[in-house]
Amino acid sequence: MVLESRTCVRGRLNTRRVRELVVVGGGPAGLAATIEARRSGLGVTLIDERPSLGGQIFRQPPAGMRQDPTYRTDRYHRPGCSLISAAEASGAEILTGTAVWGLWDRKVAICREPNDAGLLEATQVILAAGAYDRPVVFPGWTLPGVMTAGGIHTLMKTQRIAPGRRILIAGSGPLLLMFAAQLIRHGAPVSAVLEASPRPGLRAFSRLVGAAWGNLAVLRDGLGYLAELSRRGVPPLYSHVVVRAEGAGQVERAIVARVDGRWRPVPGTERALEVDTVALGYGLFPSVELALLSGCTVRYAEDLGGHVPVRDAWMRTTVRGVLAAGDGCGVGGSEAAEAEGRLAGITASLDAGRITAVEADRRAAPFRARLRQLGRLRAALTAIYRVGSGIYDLVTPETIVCRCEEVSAAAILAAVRTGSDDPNVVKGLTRAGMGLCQGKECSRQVAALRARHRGVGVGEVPLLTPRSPVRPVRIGAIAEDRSDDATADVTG
Amino acid sequence: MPPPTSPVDGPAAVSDPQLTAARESSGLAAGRDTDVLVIGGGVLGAAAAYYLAREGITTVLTERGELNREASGTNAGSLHFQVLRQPDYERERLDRIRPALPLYGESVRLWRSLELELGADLELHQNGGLMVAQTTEELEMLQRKAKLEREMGLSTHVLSRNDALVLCSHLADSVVAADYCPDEGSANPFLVTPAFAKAAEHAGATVRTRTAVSAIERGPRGGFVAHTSTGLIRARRIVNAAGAWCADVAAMVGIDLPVSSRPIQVNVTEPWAPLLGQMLQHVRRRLTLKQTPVGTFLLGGGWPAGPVVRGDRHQTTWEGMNANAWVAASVLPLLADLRIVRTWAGLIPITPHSMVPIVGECPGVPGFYVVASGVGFSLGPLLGRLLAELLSGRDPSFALHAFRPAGATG
Repeated sequence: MVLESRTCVRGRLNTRRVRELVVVGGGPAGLAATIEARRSGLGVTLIDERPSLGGQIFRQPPAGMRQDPTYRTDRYHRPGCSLISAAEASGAEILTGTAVWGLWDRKVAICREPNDAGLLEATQVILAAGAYDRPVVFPGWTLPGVMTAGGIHTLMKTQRIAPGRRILIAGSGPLLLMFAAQLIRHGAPVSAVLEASPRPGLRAFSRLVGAAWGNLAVLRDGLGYLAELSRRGVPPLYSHVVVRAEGAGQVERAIVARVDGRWRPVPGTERALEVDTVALGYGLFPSVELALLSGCTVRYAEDLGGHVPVRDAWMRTTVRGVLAAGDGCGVGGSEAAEAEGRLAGITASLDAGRITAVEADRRAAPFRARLRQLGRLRAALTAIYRVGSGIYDLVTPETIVCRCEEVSAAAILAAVRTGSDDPNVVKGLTRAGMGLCQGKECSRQVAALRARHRGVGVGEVPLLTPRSPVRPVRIGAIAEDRSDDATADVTG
Repeated sequence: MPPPTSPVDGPAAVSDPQLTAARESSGLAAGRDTDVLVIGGGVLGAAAAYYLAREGITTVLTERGELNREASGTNAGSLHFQVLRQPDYERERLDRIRPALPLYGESVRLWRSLELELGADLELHQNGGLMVAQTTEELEMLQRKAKLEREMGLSTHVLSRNDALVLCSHLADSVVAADYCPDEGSANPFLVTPAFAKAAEHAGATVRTRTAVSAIERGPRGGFVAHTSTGLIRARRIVNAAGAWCADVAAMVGIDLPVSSRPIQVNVTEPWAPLLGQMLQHVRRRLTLKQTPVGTFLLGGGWPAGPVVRGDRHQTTWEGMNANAWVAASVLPLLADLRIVRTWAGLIPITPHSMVPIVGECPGVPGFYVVASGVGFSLGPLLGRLLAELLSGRDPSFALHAFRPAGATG
């Protein structure tokens, strides 16, 4: 069986037609939502910014890249392929290579580079935008050689490139184990694996056993990863974090330290590891930019990755017609994402009047059951891998916090000390958050600095004003001829 | 020009807590009893507070939110001095604008010395502005405009396409001519108001943010008592510099002020190689286009923003982005390859004629002054200075009677 990545054929986009349902994001949640909604006969437009469907976890190799079928892929590959095929066969309108950059009351702004942009009007929208690697700010984090787990994963999966010759993996959580084991399986030279949380004790194990029902495969995998790491001589070093990366123009060594239960470095425990690559796997941040633009209510949950939309049991947000599912609402893994996506697709069908409430309950039941099982596992894992507040305290005054605009922690603190509680003021005074990444890399750390100054938790400081575009958009694509439009004229 | 504040020193600190504390302990009941209370922490209020303090007048500036978060901090930073636009070319409108025109000439001079005066880097550039025409009809509009401007004492002249290309070699093929004003340019709106506020504090003013004025009592023998969210403030005189909310504040003393507001939005691109030194505008269409010191392009022109969705900020809109992008790229085609990275929105005040400010004491309410402008960023520093001259009892350097607010209601 030769594996070839699929691309979807698309013709000229008709933006005038109102779509019954637009699904933003073609990962497990979006694919599942599409399949369920199509099953009810709802018109679905599925949009993903990457050239192929699958999101991060089901990331497909580039078109034309052929793989040896005997190559051991990860256990997500087949279910991923099957979800993608089902979505593609469902009759949904599928737009890949298309970024969603704005959202106004269920009008979805899209852009397909280089020259196509448009506004799709939708009766309902499902946001399934996924999550991205948690940026961790410490001295030297901007050195070449410091990468995120997701970035390295992509390199290995899609390009078969190992990023270095002596790789330090540092992070926390079940994904860390999986990531480390996969890297090793792909043949990458891993020097050490650091887990920020303490070694799980008996209570943790009994919690995991209690959550085993329905989750045996995942638990077995976890043990398998641990075994693999031990076998290769890199068992996780618990209660350790990277505090500094050093080197002349690139990573030459990493300084690691033991931490307490809140991930704060213990003085006097620093030591240097000679590595050329630091891979950071401290979890994920949900991509909530579109949710925030919609105006829906959010709440802060550190162990879900940050601000997440508040939803009812049917995946509805507090904004009518806007639903949300998957890691973009709080990181829970691909299986939970798929189950939530299924629920969202069923709800969209119900709210569109395509199915009855009885039918909706019936179809939703197995996915609700699965989410309950997964929820027990997640609770057990969260107790083991609780994110420590020390993750925000690794910065020094000289550390560059906003890497796009090269703004140091000292400059941000000076702005914070002017006393303003408005994050937009700090941004205006320092330029932190104004760069190309649109604040995705720095705004949490900036918020943490503000929170520390005020003596409150990170989640309690106000957010920056949500703004479109949530992806940079090419002027040539969005420019729209208004020569006949009087509002383009200056009035007196 | 003073050296820019380095990141280590930090940006312009506002509401310096040490200064306020020192003043409060000096026993003057500072911030509670004052000669002048300035309401509104935008450029007009901050500039007024600075110039008043410099005159030795005891001044308190109150801002209900944070400094510089409304029109003064959300505009595109354009310094407009070639001010005539259609339909101003009609004789009766010109007659209304005429008294205001000397203000623009003086503002040009004031801006040029402002960084030195305030000891701050404002990212000020006054390298000229080009207002372009792309059709024969637009060329005629341009020529008429330039002739009128010269008659009014503004130094502009129409450049041929070739001459315009010398200044800006990237103009679109469709540009046939441009009205050139050598003094136009831009400053960074994030820096100007904070610089004035800091200078005001150093000159002796008290700045109170998060202090909202909810009511104003008039004293039996003059003077005012302002009820604020942080307590009472007694003032002999009040300067209403509340921008888009001028009318609300004026209503507190029974004055009906013809100042309204509208939301506008601005778009910013990714950084690019320095290619544009002038501010570009279009004779007929909404456009201001400039490149900042960090290389980003600012696209503005007063495009309308959307309604408030969450909190108190207006949304930026699809239409505001794509229409602005179209006009900008039609004038500077290289923009087509650049990406818009950010947008923001703010409210700008609207006076009956946008080019003519409202400055002066309100008849019927002695001691209550108003300063408002639809071109507040460009005129702000000068209007602040003129107000201080007025309140210090001197003859202001410009005749201001044409700008006095109308009478009170009731």
